[in-house]
Amino acid sequence: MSDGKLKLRPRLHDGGLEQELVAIFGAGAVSGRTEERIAYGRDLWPRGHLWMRQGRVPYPADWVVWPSTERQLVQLVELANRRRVPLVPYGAGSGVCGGTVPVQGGVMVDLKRMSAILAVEERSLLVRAQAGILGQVLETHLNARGLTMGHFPSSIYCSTLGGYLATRSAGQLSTRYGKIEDMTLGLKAVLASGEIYETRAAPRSATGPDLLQLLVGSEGTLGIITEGLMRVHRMPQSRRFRGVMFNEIEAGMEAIRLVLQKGLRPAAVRLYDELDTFIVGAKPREAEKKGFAAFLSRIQKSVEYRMLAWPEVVGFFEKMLGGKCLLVLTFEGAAEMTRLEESLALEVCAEAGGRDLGPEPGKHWWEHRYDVSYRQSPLLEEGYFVDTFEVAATWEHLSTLYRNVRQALSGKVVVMAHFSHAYAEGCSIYFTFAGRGADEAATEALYKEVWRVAMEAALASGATLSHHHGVGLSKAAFMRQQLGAGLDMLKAIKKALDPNGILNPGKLGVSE
Amino acid sequence: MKQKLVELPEYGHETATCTFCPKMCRFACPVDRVEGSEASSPWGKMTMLRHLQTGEVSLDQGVLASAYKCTGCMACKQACLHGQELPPVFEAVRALAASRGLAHPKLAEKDEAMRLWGNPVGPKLSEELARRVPPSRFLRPAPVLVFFGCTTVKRFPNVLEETVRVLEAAGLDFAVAGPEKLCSGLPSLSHGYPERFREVALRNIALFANHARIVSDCPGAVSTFARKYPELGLPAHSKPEHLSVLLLELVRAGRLSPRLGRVRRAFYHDACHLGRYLGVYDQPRELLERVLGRKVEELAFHREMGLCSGGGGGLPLTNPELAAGIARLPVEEVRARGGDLLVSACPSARRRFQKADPDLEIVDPVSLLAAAL
Ligand SMILES: Cc1cc2nc3c(=O)[nH]c(=O)nc-3n(C[C@H](O)[C@H](O)[C@H](O)COP(=O)(O)OP(=O)(O)OC[C@H]3O[C@@H](n4cnc5c(N)ncnc54)[C@H](O)[C@@H]3O)c2cc1C
Ligand code: SF4
Ligand code: SF4
Repeated sequence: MSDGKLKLRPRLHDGGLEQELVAIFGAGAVSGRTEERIAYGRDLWPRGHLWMRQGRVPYPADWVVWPSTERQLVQLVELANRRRVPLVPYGAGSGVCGGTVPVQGGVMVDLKRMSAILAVEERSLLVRAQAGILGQVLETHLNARGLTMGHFPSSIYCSTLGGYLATRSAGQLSTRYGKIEDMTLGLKAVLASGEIYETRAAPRSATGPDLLQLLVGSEGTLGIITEGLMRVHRMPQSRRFRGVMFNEIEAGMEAIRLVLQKGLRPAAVRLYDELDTFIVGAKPREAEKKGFAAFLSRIQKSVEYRMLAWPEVVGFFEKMLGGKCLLVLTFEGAAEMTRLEESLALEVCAEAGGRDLGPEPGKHWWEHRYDVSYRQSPLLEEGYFVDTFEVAATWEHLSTLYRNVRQALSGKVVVMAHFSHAYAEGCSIYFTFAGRGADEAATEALYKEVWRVAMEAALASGATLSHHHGVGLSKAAFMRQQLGAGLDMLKAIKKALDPNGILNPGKLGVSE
Repeated sequence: MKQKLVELPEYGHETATCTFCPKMCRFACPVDRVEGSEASSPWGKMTMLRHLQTGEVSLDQGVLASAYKCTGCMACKQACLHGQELPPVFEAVRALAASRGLAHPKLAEKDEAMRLWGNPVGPKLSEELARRVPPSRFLRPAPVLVFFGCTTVKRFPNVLEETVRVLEAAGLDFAVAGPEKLCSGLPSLSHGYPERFREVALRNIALFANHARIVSDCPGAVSTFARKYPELGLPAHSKPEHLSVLLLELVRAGRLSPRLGRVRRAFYHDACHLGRYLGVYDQPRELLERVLGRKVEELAFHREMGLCSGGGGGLPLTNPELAAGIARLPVEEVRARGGDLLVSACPSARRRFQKADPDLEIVDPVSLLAAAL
């Protein structure tokens, strides 16, 4: 049968490697087949969508292996050091920064066959699970025992525990349950030296710097995480939902600050700016919708994300929408607590100028909380890019950060934002932007330019470059500005732990 | 700026939606759960097809291999906001392969059996059926026609006898389809032989004509009758139904009175064709509660999100190890939770589970009911 027109780059690492891999993993757990070479060539970094649209696979994987034991990983690391072959730890490829793209070829180390729940310690409220388990699978099994991890990233259906640990992920209820680094009591990892590092399980330790946290967020560059020991919670007895409308975004921010500083811990806090309110968040009660709002609501259902493709239309709507920013709050825990927390939070919101919309908008958000993850396909198919940029800053800088990033992007792409993951000291902002150039080359150029100006605006405004997506390839070049001398520390650690640079080269800004 | 599609363009919308989707349904896909490969996740399979459509790869460059890795369980549809139905898409790829002489040899072999015998096993099935069912039950006019699944006849002949015994005890006027054992045609459809499916379906439809209810213990058969036969001429008055639904009806009406014996803890498995395809979740549970004296235990993934057994879509033929791995998921959970009884109303699922754990007791609801009469 004749070949298709796609010509994959020859393997960068070959020459007997397959036989050595098969000797370690067995034939059923090694692949160099075309379908795997293609599928592992992109993750959910939006540039991957552009490549797909262009019919290109610029970085096909050389080999994929599926370990099932730490022992195999130790042997693999020995092999990789001996032959100087890159190893790319791989969860579910839902990362959005190109963290798994095999830029230097090598072996993709897919952890998904290490996906067992090893122990549930109900007395200490802990679960020990292997790194390759998908978030939703872990959560469903915990739920069956009346427990929850409280970690609900929008990608929970398509991402792994190891991926969360490797990227310092945040779930939608992080304001109550914390980010993944707060949920982790211990982990196990295979290091580039071939040693197995396992932390001792204790609530807290004062035995030198926290090495556990060195691996959390290491994005596959310092070790292959094989297990996590995670805090869990009993399923909440009650959940309460609320929507509050603000006339301007600053008033909403102020309300969040005061709610958090009062010591209240809503589960979710999400404040949408005007456009995000319109496209994703705002679902005012039907009764509220009259005239133009009713018209908007009708077309909203049919356009949704597609609207991001028409900057002029968006500009027009933004003017018409002027001053409608929805804040969604949810509370969970014991019934008495959630009632009280809700009423105190609503008092604060009212003082900040918010209008209580009742439980509906909050409920609506909860029921549709993962929907937005599905909605981008039509735009991407038509050659647009849609990307997100999640930064964080202290309250001091937050408003400036929001304005500056918007300003930097305006005229180039359509941009909207929401504020979520709130803390007493600050908050994260999640920008979504979409655009397209006149042709494929122009689209790529625009995409690069947009990232550059957004990063620079964020850094100049005192923000951290990533609150929870990580660095990967897309932000690697900005790590010097982000970390300063810290980058040299990180590079020195990398050099010490992985002198041959076998683990995920090119990522996190720690190696070329 | 839509892309130009050169192969199977009728599925352009489906592949575009999946290819640019962040793989949201993968946690539900049994193939993905076991193989853990991006290439055989629903997203990966659809991406490969997209590359075929846009002319970048050919059918034998991984497209067909990945299209064979689908059991047809529809769990992805359940987890997909767009409600995408992927099994028909992969069936089209398999059919394209068959039409070009590229079909998997095991599937081609089954097709030959279907051509010769009207079932995927051979003449043995008709012999077994005739041995287990009284001759007077065949070819008689009766409101209810009982159609046994091929796997039931081959692997679980006890279920034939138990079903006949239970329905006789209820005083039901029923016939049994046979003695020639025909298949529903579902394997032909899912293996990529739509013409063979049509052939056997038309033969069945002619036999169903005089019965008001077509009852089968095989969820795949019932769902095929209900979804695919009407467009081929199955009259509206022939209502396909699963055996567990009929049995519950008889128990509720007091025509069968199970005696409560030892109260037993049983895990219930939702078969894909019974649950996701036909929406039958509550009736088997209620039936089992009446027979066992307590509610069934739920697997972590149950009802709409129930776990597949790995038996569909020809997977045991094309990818036997993968199919075996899928069957292990529910049985391992039952074991881990201290269970020793798993009930499934799907013969093919029971067969898969039995192979995965020969020591676990795995039964059809009718067997428990028969024992309680
Ligand atoms: C639709 C969508 C919604 C998202 N929503 C959120 C969200 O709400 N919150 C959030 O935090 N993120 C979100 N993300 C981003 C992504 O899901 C997270 O970064 C997630 O943690 C990645 O997990 P993964 O298993 O897919 O990892 P991968 O993408 O496979 O890998 C990510 C990085 O981690 C490394 N890695 C993976 N596993 C291991 C391991 N076992 N050991 C060492 N290194 C490893 C990889 O090398 C890579 O550098 C979203 C992504 C998408 C596509
Ligand atoms: S079936 Fe739906 S959820 Fe699954 S990959 Fe396709 S579009 Fe995404
Ligand atoms: S039908 Fe089942 S096996 Fe097939 S892709 Fe969907 S979830 Fe996977």
